[in-house]
Amino acid sequence: VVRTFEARDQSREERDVRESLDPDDVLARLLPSVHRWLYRLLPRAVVEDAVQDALIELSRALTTFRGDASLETWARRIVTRVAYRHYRQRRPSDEVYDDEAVAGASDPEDHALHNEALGRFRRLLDCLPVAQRVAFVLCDVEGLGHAEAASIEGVGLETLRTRLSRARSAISRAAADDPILRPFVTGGRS
Amino acid sequence: VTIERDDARLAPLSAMFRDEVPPPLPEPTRKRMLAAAKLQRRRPAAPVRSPIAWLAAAAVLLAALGGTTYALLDRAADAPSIVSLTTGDDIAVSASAGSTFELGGPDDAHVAILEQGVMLFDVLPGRARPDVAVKTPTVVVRVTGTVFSVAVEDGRTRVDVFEGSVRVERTDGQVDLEAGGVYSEAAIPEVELPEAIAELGRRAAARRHRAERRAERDARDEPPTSETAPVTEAPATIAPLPNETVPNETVPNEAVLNEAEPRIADTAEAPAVALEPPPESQPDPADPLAEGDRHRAEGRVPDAIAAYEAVVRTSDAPATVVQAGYLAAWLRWSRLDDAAGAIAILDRSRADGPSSPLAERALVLRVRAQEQRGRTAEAAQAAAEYLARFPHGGERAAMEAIAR
Repeated sequence: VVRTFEARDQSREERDVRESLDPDDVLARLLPSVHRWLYRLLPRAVVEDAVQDALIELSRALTTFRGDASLETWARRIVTRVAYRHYRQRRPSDEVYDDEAVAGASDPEDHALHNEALGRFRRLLDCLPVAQRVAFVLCDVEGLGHAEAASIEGVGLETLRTRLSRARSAISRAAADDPILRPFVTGGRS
Repeated sequence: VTIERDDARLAPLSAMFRDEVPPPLPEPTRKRMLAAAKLQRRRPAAPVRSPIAWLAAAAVLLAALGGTTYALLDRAADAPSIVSLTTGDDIAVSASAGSTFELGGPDDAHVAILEQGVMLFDVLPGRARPDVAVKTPTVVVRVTGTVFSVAVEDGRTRVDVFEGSVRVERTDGQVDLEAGGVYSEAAIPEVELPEAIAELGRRAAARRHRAERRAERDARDEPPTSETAPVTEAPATIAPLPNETVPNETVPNEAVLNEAEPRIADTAEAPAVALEPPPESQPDPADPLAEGDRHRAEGRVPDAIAAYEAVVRTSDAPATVVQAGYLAAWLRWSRLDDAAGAIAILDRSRADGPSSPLAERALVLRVRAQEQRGRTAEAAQAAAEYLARFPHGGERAAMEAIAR
């Protein structure tokens, strides 16, 4: 009997959480974050398509949101899943050498170098296996803890740490070999 | 230990990447994305049955038999039978069982007259004749590029718009409907829209959204900065195709194109032996326009022009040459302000020739380019040709003004 009441209470709470969420309002609030997350997780050429797909998935999934994780964590899980899918579906033409960074070369030297470095760094990320990129972005760029990142990815803690380690190692080696990125990883710039 | 070291080494790069702010989504894009998400939130539909063989055969015949009245027999009340037809005018039509409708012939003002039942129309933007419309016993629905359905039951009409907009004209006035809008002749829509048709509409709208996003990315391509080839906005009257291309040494402003994109990246070494190199960009043999499309999507307008024009020079397929030529001309005119180059590539590709499926738009482009060059006589001549070949064309009014 107690369990039944507890279950009913939980169900009522879940329903209250769902009913308190206006889907349009939630999506509008999430959109900038979704855009930013996918911008970091994916090659630029596919970001907009991925944002649209993520919004649609979030929109459909809102009815099942139970409130047992924060809205942001819940949204990140869905967005990450969308990112995986787009990463696997990308075509060679989606590989983008960051033209904006190149265009920045006409600016003052520091600005140009910064843009160029950003473009090269993004390209390094584009070359990483998607699982490593996601781990790196979640932990080292977004600053999430390992446990939360593992939860979002739906993998174990050790798996997450292994991916992160490999990503850092690969990026570090590649950056050290790159004349533009090298100063950033050897203390020449920060 | 290794993890910590790499972590510390990469901290400046991670921070730089973290601080990078993505370019904001344009407000129309943002609104459209939210609207599409809202639209897709609706409950999933019952599965759409595949059209059976005789209906498919009817679809093939339909394009050639404009003006014929069709009555689709309702096979079973619980079977949402749908027949999908392509009219050959870049309009895809689906009709539910039990519908009675007449498809217009090539000279008719209406693409369809719906007496009873439900029809879904997926009209590609800029592809259909501008005067096409759907007529029901009570209203006329004016068609632009859009996805919408019309349902008629016992003389009452309901219109649902899934994407784009339509204008519903009644005897006592007109109503403009945007995506998500419903027109009904009662306060509560009493004419039911079958879920199978609604699902088809949502899918078509989703496809359209994806295509528009690609087109928007293309439209944001920055043309190269050049004193001799200033950036201009494309006139709204001519829409680019989903694909595009460009000219070679015979076309003016080649020097501008060659110097348009300085690349400091070429002076740097390729990074990352430890990482997989990105796939080499190989032309897709199945799609000769793919290379141009890729350059255009990535903002390299001159490269896109060069690739498209290479197709014009080398392809043996007239349809491909026409498409590549039109795209090259459009890019030259709209992005490089190079009217002479645009006309040169139109001439070379015969994009506005009698057999070109893009003739209407290519002719308009020729007229605009001639106007831009100040060649009013040539512009008037091209406008007159447009009027003779496309008396019901969407640019008729503008062409008449120029032809005078």
